[in-house]
Amino acid sequence: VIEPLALAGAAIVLLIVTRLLSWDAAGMAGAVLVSACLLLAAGSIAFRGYRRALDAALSRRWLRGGGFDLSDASTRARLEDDATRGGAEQAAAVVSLLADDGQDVTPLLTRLVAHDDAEIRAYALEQFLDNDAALPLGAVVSLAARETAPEVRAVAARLAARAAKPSREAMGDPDPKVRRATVAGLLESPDEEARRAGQGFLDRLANSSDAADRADAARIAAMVGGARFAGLVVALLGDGDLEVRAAALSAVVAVKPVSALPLVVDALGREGSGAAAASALVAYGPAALDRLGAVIWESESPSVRVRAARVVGRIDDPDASGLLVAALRHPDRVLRGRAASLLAARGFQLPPSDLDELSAAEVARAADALAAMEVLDGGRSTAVGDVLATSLLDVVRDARDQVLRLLMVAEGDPAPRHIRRAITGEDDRQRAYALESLDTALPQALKARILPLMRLDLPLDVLRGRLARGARPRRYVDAAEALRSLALGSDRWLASLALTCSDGDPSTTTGGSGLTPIIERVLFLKRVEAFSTLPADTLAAVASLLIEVQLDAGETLFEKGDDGTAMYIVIDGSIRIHDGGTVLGRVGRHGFFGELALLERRAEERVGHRRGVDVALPIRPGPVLRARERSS
Amino acid sequence: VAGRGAGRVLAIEPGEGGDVARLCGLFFVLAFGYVVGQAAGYAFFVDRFGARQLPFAFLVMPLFGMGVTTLNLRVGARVGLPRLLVIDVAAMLAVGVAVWVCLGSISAAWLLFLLPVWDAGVNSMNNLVVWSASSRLLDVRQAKRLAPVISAGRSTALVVGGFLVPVIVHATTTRALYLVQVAAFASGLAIMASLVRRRGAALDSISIGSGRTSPSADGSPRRYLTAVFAVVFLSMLAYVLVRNIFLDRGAVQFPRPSDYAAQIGLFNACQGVATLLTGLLLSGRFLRRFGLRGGLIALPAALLVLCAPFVLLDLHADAQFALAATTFVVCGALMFSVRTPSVQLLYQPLEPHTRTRAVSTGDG
Repeated sequence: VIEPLALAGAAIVLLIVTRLLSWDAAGMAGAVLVSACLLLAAGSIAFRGYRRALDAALSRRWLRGGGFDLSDASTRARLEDDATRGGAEQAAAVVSLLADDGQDVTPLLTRLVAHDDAEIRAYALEQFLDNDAALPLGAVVSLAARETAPEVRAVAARLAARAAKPSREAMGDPDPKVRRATVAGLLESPDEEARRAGQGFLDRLANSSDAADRADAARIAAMVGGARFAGLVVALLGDGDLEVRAAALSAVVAVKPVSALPLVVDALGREGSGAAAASALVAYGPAALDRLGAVIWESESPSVRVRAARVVGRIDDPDASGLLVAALRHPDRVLRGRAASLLAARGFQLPPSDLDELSAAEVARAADALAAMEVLDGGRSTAVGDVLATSLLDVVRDARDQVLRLLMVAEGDPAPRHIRRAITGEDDRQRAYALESLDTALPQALKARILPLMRLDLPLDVLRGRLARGARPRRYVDAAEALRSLALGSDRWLASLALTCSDGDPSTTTGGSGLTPIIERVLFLKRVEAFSTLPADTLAAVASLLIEVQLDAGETLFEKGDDGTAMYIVIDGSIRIHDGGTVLGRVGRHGFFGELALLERRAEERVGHRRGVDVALPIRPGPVLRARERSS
Repeated sequence: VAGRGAGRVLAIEPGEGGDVARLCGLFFVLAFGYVVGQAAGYAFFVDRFGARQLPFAFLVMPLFGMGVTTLNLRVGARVGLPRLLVIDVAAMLAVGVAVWVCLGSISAAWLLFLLPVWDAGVNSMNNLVVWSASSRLLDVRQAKRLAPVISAGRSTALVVGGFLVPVIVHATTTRALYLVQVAAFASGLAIMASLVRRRGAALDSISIGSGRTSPSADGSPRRYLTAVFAVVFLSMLAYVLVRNIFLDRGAVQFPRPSDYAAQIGLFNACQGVATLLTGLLLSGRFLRRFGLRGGLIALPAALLVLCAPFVLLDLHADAQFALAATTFVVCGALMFSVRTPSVQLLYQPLEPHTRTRAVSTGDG
């Protein structure tokens, strides 16, 4: 349609120029110049539209949501009705929507306090509690007395105590939550007598010989907060009981005692207390940054380094961004990745010079890894050699992912997220859109360097050639030289594999210390069906968590009815699974069982129970591996 | 080995050769049918009505083009794209046969008037068939590399057809050109059938008439598509004006009709060869180096540079003709080897059914 119309348009222009205006070739050329200028403008608009269309194609963002007009009374009434008809989540969403718009939500919250759903009642009461909003005292006391759900009763008891009207029933309530809430309410009360009574209760709990009471004291301090509890919290942080220390760490969030900072940083690396310590450090804010920086650069433990980076990422301060930018140059690639993701999540915008330098370093790492693979190919056909080759490929993949994260940080908008998802995804057409989007958005020098890295679907020799153009990788004479170089590198996992490949002794270098058993475990896991397709570095992470346990012949691993909290893999021997005299199955070498229990635990974690998960790998007779993995 | 060498030169990656060869071959045979049909149609028209009546045919062409496109979209709404493509080529073949048969028995004025119009319709259908299939089989990155190579099939046909038409006419009759056209379309049907047989699933990802239209990021594709169609319209408008400047200056430079015709033929061939070479060897690299933005800027930039001297300088007639001829050759090459693949790229981010409709409207 368009091209024939253009022909007709040209005929009309020619008629006007030559017949009406009697212009010659110069006149026609003038018409061409005008057309060319219009064409430039149309091309520019079309190109901008093309970039937007690519983004839309990547995100499949075909529809846009509509908003509510909250100035309209009938819309508000409709929303309030919706809040009472759905669950707690819907009620919270409506309250939040109205509050954000500056509407008075007290009438709605008062309605929700009388709702049939205990979760909604608790939510509404908490809103009153958090916002110091006024709810008729009589209603609160009455609610505290007759409420059946402990969570709601606790909030009502706290509100009543805060108003210096604690009910006697609340202090003797069988549920500790209600008792704690009452003491907290008393401590928060403007009435001095009530506060004194609350302090008396708190002191008794803190000095109790029962660890549960001391933990309750820490929890009450956490509920109320404030510097007046600093001494109590510091004292409880040094308590001999793990539960008390964990409760005290939670209280640090609300109390923030300065003298406790070193203890909290230490707790970051301790089993079972990392998550609580992280929350506490976030509460300290910029004051904790120096110590967290030291952990990132000086800690020997990769997981602690990453945990510290996560804490930094949650602190809203320009210096925190500076720490994360510095972490982008850390030798630990997992940490680099985490730092980039955290910076992107903060909306930090990386300067172009940093993007250029950091992406060049990542591409160079990938090119070096491929160069090492080239000389190692065929040199080794051992299982460790295979793992080393896989691990080198993982280095290339990590470099690609890190460059994409860096782009996300540099761009500071959501489009690169879609690009990253598409490039690392399975859909070829989406991947092509993503590559094209990068191609149109990036400056020439940058795209020439990084686009080859985005093509991991290419044959390795082609990829190696393309990366080598911009990165100038190391040149290895032979496999021995490549292994020596890897053994001296900063990546402990690769160093250990290289040493093993070259028959060196891993324990002679700090780079390889302690990793040989992990390599053996990775090799073992490679032969287990459930793990055989996982990348080597993931298997290394799994292997580092495994615990080896030995059972004697005839010994029972677990009884029928025990909680299933572990997955087991048989290293040697076999294990019989039976119900009385009925044999249900027999699991031999490289076999596994208990994985369903593990998956169920995982599902529970996802819905928010946050329980620890045990993974165990038993054999019988022989050693049993047992690993413990904690949710973060 | 030769295939791998050619693949490297043309930036064809492993696994793409079959599709590219079929699409390029399809474009070649269909465009060859167009060239021979065009020569015959215009010869019959001018012989009967004279060249002065051609603008009337030009005015009918858009109406016919719209009719063909509308019919195509209607049929496409009922059948999948693979069947539609086969139906399109089969319809061209059937009309070609009908024209050849009719010219043997009747010489009615309406039939001769419609021949150039039908020729314009063939051109539209060729673009529609080849680019609809290409846009489904190639992703956006492949299109960037391979659309110029596929487009080279058309350029090759124009050059080869340009040389062969006089030979065929000399050896047989003007009407026989339609028989050659029928043979070309029959070959096209065979290639299309092979393509559908091998790649039917990829072509049939979605029915073109079904579903909602796809909004772009800002909620509607209309603004984006308007910009794309403006690029198509303005570039074609500028190209026709440039061609007219060339024809105008040629008439001044070569007053004798035989000299004039010879020079026009020569420069047409030059443009065909330039288009072919740039399409095969330069366009893909140009688009990869400078991206789509470069592809969209190339033609207007060349027009500005080459046409400004006409306006700004008082050129001698010889210089005017030389400049007009250069502009005609360069802009023709850029038009068909850079602009066309660039416009095909603009369609790629659209949802498949919207894309097919947009290709039909823009190129059909």
